[in-house]
This record gives sequence, structure tokens and C-alpha cells, in this order.
Amino acid sequence: MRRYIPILTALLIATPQCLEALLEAQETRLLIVSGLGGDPQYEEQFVGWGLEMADAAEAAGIPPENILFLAEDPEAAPGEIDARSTREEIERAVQELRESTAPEDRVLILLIGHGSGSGSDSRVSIPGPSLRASEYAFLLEQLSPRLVALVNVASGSGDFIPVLAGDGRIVVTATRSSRQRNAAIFGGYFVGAFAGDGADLDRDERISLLEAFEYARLETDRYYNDRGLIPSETALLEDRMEGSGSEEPGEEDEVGLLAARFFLESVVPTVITGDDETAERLRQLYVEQARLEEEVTLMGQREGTMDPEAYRATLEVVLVELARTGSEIRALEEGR
Amino acid sequence: MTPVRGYRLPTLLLVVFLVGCMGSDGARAQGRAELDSLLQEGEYDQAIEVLQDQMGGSHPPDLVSQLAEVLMDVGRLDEAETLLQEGIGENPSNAYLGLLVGRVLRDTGRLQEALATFTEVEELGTGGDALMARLHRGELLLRTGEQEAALAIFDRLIDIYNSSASLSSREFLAVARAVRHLEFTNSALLQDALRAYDKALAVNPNNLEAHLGVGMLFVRTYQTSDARDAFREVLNRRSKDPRALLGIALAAQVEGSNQAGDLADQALEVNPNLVPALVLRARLRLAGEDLEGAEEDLSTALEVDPTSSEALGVLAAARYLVDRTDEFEELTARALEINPRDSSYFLTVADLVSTRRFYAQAVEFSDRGITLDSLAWAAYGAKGLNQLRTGEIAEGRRNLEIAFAGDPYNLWFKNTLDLLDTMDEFEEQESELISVLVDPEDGEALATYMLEIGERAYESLSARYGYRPVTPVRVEAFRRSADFSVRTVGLAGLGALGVAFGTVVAMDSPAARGPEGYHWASTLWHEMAHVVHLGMTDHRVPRWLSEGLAVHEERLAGPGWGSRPGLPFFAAYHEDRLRPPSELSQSFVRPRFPEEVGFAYTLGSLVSEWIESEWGFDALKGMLEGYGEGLSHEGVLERELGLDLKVFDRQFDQWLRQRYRGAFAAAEAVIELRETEREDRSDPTWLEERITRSPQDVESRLALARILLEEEKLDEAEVQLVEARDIFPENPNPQGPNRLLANIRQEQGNVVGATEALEAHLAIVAEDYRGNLQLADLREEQGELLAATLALERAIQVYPFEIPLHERLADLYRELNDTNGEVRERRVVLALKPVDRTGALYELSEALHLADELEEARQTVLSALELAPRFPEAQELLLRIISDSGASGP
Repeated sequence: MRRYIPILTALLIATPQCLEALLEAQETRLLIVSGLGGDPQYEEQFVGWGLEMADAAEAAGIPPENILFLAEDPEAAPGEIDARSTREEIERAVQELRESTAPEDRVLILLIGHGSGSGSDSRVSIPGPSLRASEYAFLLEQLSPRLVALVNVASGSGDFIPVLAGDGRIVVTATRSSRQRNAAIFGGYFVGAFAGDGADLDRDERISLLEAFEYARLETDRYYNDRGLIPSETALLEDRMEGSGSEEPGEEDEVGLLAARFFLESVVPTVITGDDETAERLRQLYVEQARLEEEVTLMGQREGTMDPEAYRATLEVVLVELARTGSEIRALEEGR
Repeated sequence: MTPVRGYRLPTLLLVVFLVGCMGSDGARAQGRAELDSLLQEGEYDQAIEVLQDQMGGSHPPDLVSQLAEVLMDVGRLDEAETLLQEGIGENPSNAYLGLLVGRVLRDTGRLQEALATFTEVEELGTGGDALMARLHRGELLLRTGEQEAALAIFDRLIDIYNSSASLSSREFLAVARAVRHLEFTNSALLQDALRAYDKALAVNPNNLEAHLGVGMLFVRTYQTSDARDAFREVLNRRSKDPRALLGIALAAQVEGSNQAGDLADQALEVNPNLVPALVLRARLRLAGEDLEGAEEDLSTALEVDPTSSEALGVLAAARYLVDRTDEFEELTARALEINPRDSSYFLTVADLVSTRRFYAQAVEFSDRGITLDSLAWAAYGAKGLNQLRTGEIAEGRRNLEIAFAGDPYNLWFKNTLDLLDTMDEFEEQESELISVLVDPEDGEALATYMLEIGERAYESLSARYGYRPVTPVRVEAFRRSADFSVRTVGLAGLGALGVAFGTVVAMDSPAARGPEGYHWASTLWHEMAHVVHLGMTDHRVPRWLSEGLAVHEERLAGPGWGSRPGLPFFAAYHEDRLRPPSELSQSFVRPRFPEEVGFAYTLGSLVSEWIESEWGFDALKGMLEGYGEGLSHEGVLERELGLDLKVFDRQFDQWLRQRYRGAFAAAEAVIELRETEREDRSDPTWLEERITRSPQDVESRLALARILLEEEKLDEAEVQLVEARDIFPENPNPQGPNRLLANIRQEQGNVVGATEALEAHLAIVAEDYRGNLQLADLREEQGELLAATLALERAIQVYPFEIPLHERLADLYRELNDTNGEVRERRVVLALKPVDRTGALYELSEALHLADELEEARQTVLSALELAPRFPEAQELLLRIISDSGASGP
């Protein structure tokens, strides 16, 4: 134990105050783009998914003003859909995101609709001329260095991955290539992951992008298996800049590490109720909790290079501290 | 005209002469065709008569050889020899006749005379006869231990093959056989042998010896389907050729088919002196404990050929198995005098004693074979296989690797080595008494319970029999039935579910069979009974008693455990299709119909039950001790029961019919229906009439009840089911009366009645997995939590791999404050790799905390938090554990 204290101490000391500031400042913005349905069934479905996602985001603490929902017909949900999902509106939305967010903020873009085209010409059908994948890539460039997740749940969406993969980007598609053209059901399960609690595998009461992906992937598989159907869609997740995507992100291929840390929720809730002292204590605890979680994640990445006993001992220190922090948070929250 | 007459007469004479020749050739051709037809139909006696007629009083060499060959085919060797000697007397330089004489001498064990004859033939002629004589000479030298000289001859034959532009079919045949004899030096030569056989057949497709040679080669390489094709080529031409029939019998034996004995019988019907067929049948009889029958065949075989190594080996094994060691040694000396390097003799003995479960002895005999011939790959293989049965795993593997390197065609060696590689990954759980090895996919979920049941079985059976087997007893469970088959390779007639080799047990994992119909716990108990019985009798317990007693012990061990006799059993018994108890062991190795083996288990168990109920347990134990002392069946029965075989069979029959009166009545109804009427079990009117005429017809009552259930006439269905149950209360039908009654009562909301019926059903059919779960539901509904846990435990004894069952059981144990039970179940949940591993770790940690296992609880909850650092309940639990440990944390 004595041998390893210096490392632990070093970790604690090395955490800069700016990290605290960073953890506090992270905001999440959500842009939902729902395209042309083509018939009433899909029009309703696409708007429904968008609304469900917006509601889940609000429940996760994203203020309504940080959620923008563009759809084929704003009259389909007045007051909920902000504008028509045209090319111009999308570009304007991205511009606005660029201007109103800080570099440390996160952006989640959700594309819902019918896919078409292939390669850099892949697109999701929207009213008027559609944006191609290459054009989305350009738009995402404008948001750099923000952490951006683009989730395309349209049919034939797979070719978005090689075009959009990049540094600080998470790309999720409902299909593995443009050839999987049948209507995809992945999107419904994806938004359902945020709306329900079945996806919270690590029991931290929030859903990461990775958890949502896993949940939706498994539920999609189950849908086809239960009906004796051959799966016609294979979702992919890419967050390592490799441009190929993974069907089952996990430890072996190290895909998903970034997605595992992408949440809708902010580290510190935007609004903390209670008296000033409690609120301030809670704020400190939230930040401390996030820091300790980051610690656990970093330790996990270094596990293979450490002596197993030393790893366990060091991890225990952090986990106990995290437990104490979590317990105090709950006590204060319940006491409010 | 005189000059014309002068010119014409020679011409005329020539014409007459030519016409005469053509006439006799024509007659010959017609005779040949008739002969071929008779031989094709297997009418050997008639063929012999035809040939004898054709010969008249003379001895033309072609007719002599044909007749001699037919006589040899049907085993009339003395007559063949006399005929051949007469033929040689008139045709002293006929090499083929000499060759045939040599074969007769060889086949009747006059090896030195045969050797001399073949030498003469070789000197006589050229071509196929001389080459064949040379081959035979080499074979005889090999057979008498002159290996180097033999190999030199075979090598020379290969040289002839390699240097000749063209050879006759018989010459190719001689080369093929020579190459085969060299295979132990280089297994790749088998391909060359096949090539040579193919060439022999290309030159002459009717070369029956070549077809036979191909067939035997394929038997050797375990390509039994190809072997049968080759033998059929012979049978297409000679429909009852005994050597072809024997070949198919040998192929069946390799496959472990029950038909080997019947096919050997067919061969012996044609040639009752065919030594290899006699020996094959003797082997099978010995494996079925029919010593008398085996000795009869061996006596015949050794009368024909006193030098037959295999016959001597089988007879020696028979002597050894009944402790007639002096005679065993005499036979061994005799065999080694004929051939001082006869490793195959010891291999024969090893094979046979292993079929009677004398595995340690089989190792020793195999070793003796290896000592005589270091290239005896089969002996290495036999040693290795038997070492795996005695638990010498590493040594067994080493010998199998040697065997396989020398003989890569041996499927058994290969499959066993592959299995050992698979088993390297097996997980082991061990106690002082039992060591359990399971597939990693089964893991702790199976090993935990196997260890518990194994230990209980060991203690219970040891106490009952007063014998403690050497520990730890090794129990292997195979997830794939194919692996279990490989583990039991070469041992025909064994159980399909499990086997005990001594203190090594192999069985199917429940994963191999699914949750329906396989009770792994009672199977393990059954095998543990074998471990005790084999050990206390030094492996001498006869098959019928060994299996019967093991099933009987199963039934005593748990409600519904062990197979029970059903209506098909009673019908077969009533129709005299089952062997009586005194002959029961035969049913395991030579069943006459597919179900006979299963019925033999049941019958044996009923005999065991009868003996214990009439004479007491001490009589059963005394019987085992008697067999262990080497007493015969008769001796054991006389000593322990005071009965001879006939009375034994008779009294058992009386007891059985009395004990199962109702079942026999129901079975008679089944037989009567089968023999007299057309069934229409889908017509309720027909069923009602049938029941009126034959009230004991349980099957019809069940069929009617099912129809009534579909029509939702529950009360009427219940009437039929109660009647059916009362006629045959121990009916093991998985959808029998009690099961259906339970369903009816549950539907009627009669929870108590449903519970009673289901308990009664499960007391007979313990392997009803869903039934046990249903019983747990009913018990829980009535607040009987302990009874609910018992039902779930019984479900685990059938199939332990469903996570919800263990979660449910764990919850029940939590409510009952059974911390040990809960911890066990939570561990198993984790071992089953649930999707929610985090949650499973948390639950286990909580259970450990409740069980005051604080250190492990702490480590476990930390593992949960490692996966889910913000898991609130786990965090609180960790803090509680730290607090309860009196520590302040790290």
C-alpha cells in the first residue's frame, strides 16, 4: 500500500482546478432532426421518436431552451417542434450552437427518417434538398473542439460513419451500410433507452450513449429473433476515429470509451434546490463525485499495467470515497 | 478318290476333333454358368455336387481347385485337403493346387507344414501363384514371430511391384496384402495398399479376394460405410459368402452396433468352422457373461486351428475372468510358443477384460503386449484408453499420443486425444471425497450441486454397503453427448447417460439433454452406486445386478428417482420378449429389439427390489460379496437365496405379477387391443365403448380424459384420471393421471388438491422440471416457503441452468433466513453469467453480508462498484460492511 500512495496522491494533486471548472461548466445541447415520413405511419413514428427524445432530455435536466426539434411539419406537435427540418434550418441550428456554446460543451444531434444514397452522398430525406453526409461532416467541423455525438437512426445510415468519424466525435448509425435499406427500428429503442430505466446497466441513474446503444442493439436483435425474422439492420458505434464502427463495442476493440462518458445530464445539475449552504455543499459533492468517477475510469484503463493487488487496493480507496460522497449526496437530496 | 480320301481323312478327323473340343468346352461353359449361379445364390451344397459330378472319377486341376475352394468356403477343410492331395498326386507340378493345400494346412494350424508347402510352390512356378505363395510364407513367418524375415519378404514384393511393367490381378493382390502387413512401420502405406487393391480390381473386377481385402482395410481405418460397400461387392456375386458376412459383422462391431452377433451367426451358418467368426461370436458372448456359449465357440475354433492367436486370447481372457489363472498361464505359454512376439494375444486379453470392467488388468495386459513388440500401436492405445478409465490421465494421454503417432487412422485415439484437449479447459471443484470436472460453460452452476449430490451419495452408499471407495472419486460431466460417447468408446452396451469405470465416472451434463426427461442427480447417484459395487466386488459384479442394483439405489435415494416400469415394459414382459433374470446380462450386449436394454435396467432393478424385500438387504450385500469372491451365478444364488436358476426366475415372476397386478392388467388391455382391434383414440365414443369392455385399459382412459379436457369437461375427465391412477398408481407416464389431475385442480382453483396430485406425480416422475416449478408456485401460493424451496431444489436436480430459478430460490432463502442457501444460490446466479452482472454481484454481496462473511462481502460489492461506480445501493452496502467490520475503510 505504501508503495502506491504516491501514485494516488499524484492523481489527486494533479487534478487541476480547471478540471473542476470544466466539470461544472459542461452543458449538453440537443438537436433533433426528423425528416420526411412518406406516409402517415412513418410521419407519426418519426415525430413520436423526436418528442420522446426531447422529453427524456428534459427529464435528464437539459433546459428546454437547449433542445431544438426540427421536423417535417411543425403543426404535427405545435409548441414542441421548433421549425421545419429544412437544410437552411439545420445549418442555422448548427451555427447557433457554435455561437452559443462553449468549447467544453457537448452536442447531441439525432437524425430520424428514411435514408438514401451511399458513401459521402448518404442522406436523410428532409423537406427540400437534403444534406449529404459530407455536408454534415462540414457542419460538425464547425463545432470542433466540442464533443459531438451524431446519431443517425435512419435506414441505410451506415455510410455516415466513415465520412463523419473524427476526433472528439461519436457517430452512431442504425445500419452498417447504405445497403440495409429497410425501415429501421433501432431508433425507437434508442430513444426508449433514455426514456426508461432498462438501459441503466451501471446503475448510476443516468444513461450514457454507450448504454443507449447497447440497449437498442439488444432489443433490436430480440425483435427479429422473437418473430423468427432475419435481421435487416445492424447498428454501429464509432468513437475511435477509425471510421469503421463496431457492432459490439467493448473492451476488446476499445470502442465505446468516449460514448460511455457521454451523458445528457450535466455533472452538476443546472438547478440545485435547497438553502445556500446545502446547495453549495451539493455542488461541491457533485463535482467531487464526477472527479472520483473519472478516477475510476482512468484506473480501469491502467488496470493491465498495474500489479493486481495494488490495483484492487487503490481502486478500493477511490470507490469507498465515491460511496461516501454518493451517500452524502443522497442524504442531502432526501433531506431537502 | 483315294487321294481325296487320303487328304480328306485328316481334315475330317481334324473337324471331328475340333467339334469334339468345342462340344466339351460348351458343356464346360454351361457348367460354369450353372456353378456361378449356384454360388451366387449361396447354394454351396448343390455347387459341390455339380462339381463332383463334373469331375467324375478324375482330377482335372481346374475342377479340383474349384471344388476345393468351395469346400474351403463352407469349412469342409478335411475333404478339401483330401481332394487337393489327390489332385496334386495327378498334377504334381500344379502350383495353384499346392497353394490351396498350403492354405488348408495354415487354416488348420499346421504352420510348419504350410510353410514348407508354400516354399515348394514358390519354387515351382512363376506369376501369381508363386507370388502368392511367397506372400503366404511371409505371413506365416510373421505369425510365428520371425518378423525380420517376414518384413524382408514383404519388402521384396514391393520391389516387384515397383519394377514390373504389368502385373496380374493376383499379383497386385499379393502386393496389396504385403503392404498391409508393413503398415505398422509406416501408416501411410495403407494408402499404397488400397492402391494396389484397386489395381487388382481394375485388372479383374471379379477378384473376390481383392474386394475382401479392401473391405478389411476400410474396417481397419474405421471407414465402415466404405467397408460395407466392398463386402457387398462380394455378396453381389456370392450372396452368402461367409467371409463377406464376417466382414460386415466386423464393421458392425467397430460401430458398436448390436447386429455384429447376428451377422456372425449368418456367416457361421454357411461355414461353421470359420475361425474369425467363431472368435467374434465368442467375444460377444463373453462380454454378455455367457461363458458357456463363448467356450463352445472357442472349442470349435481351436479344434479347427489350434494355433489361432485370437482364439487362444479370448479363451485365456475367459479363464482369467473366473480366476482360473493356471489355465490362463497355460494358454499364454501356448500362444507364446507359437509366436514369442505375439503382442496381439495380450491385446485380445486386454480388450476382453476391459469389456468386463477390469480396466487396471487391461492396462497390465496391454503393457505386456508392448513389451513384446514396441511397435504395437494398438496395445499403446488400449493401455492409454484404460488408463483414462483408472484415473491415470496423464499417463493415458501419453500412451494415446504414442498410439496415434503410429496409427493416425484410429478414430478412437484421435477423438479421445481431442477430448482430452477439450478437458484441459474443464473447471474442477474438489472435496475430500469427490472431484468434479465440468465444462467451463457449465462451471460452478453445475459443479456446486454435483459436488453436493456426489458427497451425499458417497456417504450414504458407503454406510449402507460398508465399503468406502478410494477417494477422491472423479466425476466428469460432458456438455456434448458426442464427448461422452468418445469417453466410453469401445465399450458396447453401456448406459447412454453415464458410466462408472471404477472410481472414475463420466456422464452427460444436463446441458447435453435440456430440461426435459434427464435427471442428472439420480444419474450421478446411479453411477456412485456402481463405484461402490465395482469396488467391493473387485469389478466382478455381473452386469444385470450391477445395473439393476444401481437403479434400485436411485429409487431409494429420492422420490421419483430411477426409471420405473411403464406399460411398454409390462407388455413386453407379458409377451415373453424379455430375458429372464438368470440370462439378463445378455440383454445389455445382444439386445434383440431396441428397447430391450432399457427394459433390462428396469427388470434388474425389480429383481433387486424383490431380493431386498424378501430376503433383506444382507442378502443383496451377500450376493455382491459372493461375486467378489469369484462364485458363479448358481453359487451365489444358492448361497444367499437358497435357489437354483430356474426357481429364481420362477419366483421372481410370481412376485412381479402380484406386485404389479394392476399394471399387468393394463398391459394386457394394450396387447389385446393391438392384436384384435383397430384403435381410434381420437373418437370419444369409441374410447367410451372400449373402456366399458375393458375397464383396465389405462391408455384409453387417459386418451378420453385428454379429449374431455380439451372440451373443458373437467369433472368427467377427473373421473377417468382417478380410475386410471387407481389401476396403475406408479404409472411413470410424464403426462400421466396425477399430472393431468393436478392441472385440472389448479384450473378449478383447488390449490390443495392440485398440490397433492402434483406431489404424487413428482414422487414417480422426478425429472418433470416444469412440474417441480409448478409445485413451487403452488407451495408459495399457500405460504409454504420451505416446501417451495424443496420443489425448486428438486428442479435444480433436473436442470440447473436457468437464472430465474436460482434468483427465486435465493429470495426464498432470504425470507427463510437461510443464509447459506442464499449465498449458494447467489453464487450460482453469478456463475451463470447474467446480463446484469452488476446486480448479481450486489445481491451476492448482500447475502454474504447477512451470512456475516464480511471480507468476501466487501470484495464482492467492490467488484459490483468497479462495474457501476455510482450504483447507489451498492455504495450504501459497502459503507455498511465497512462499518460492521469495525473498520474505517482503507
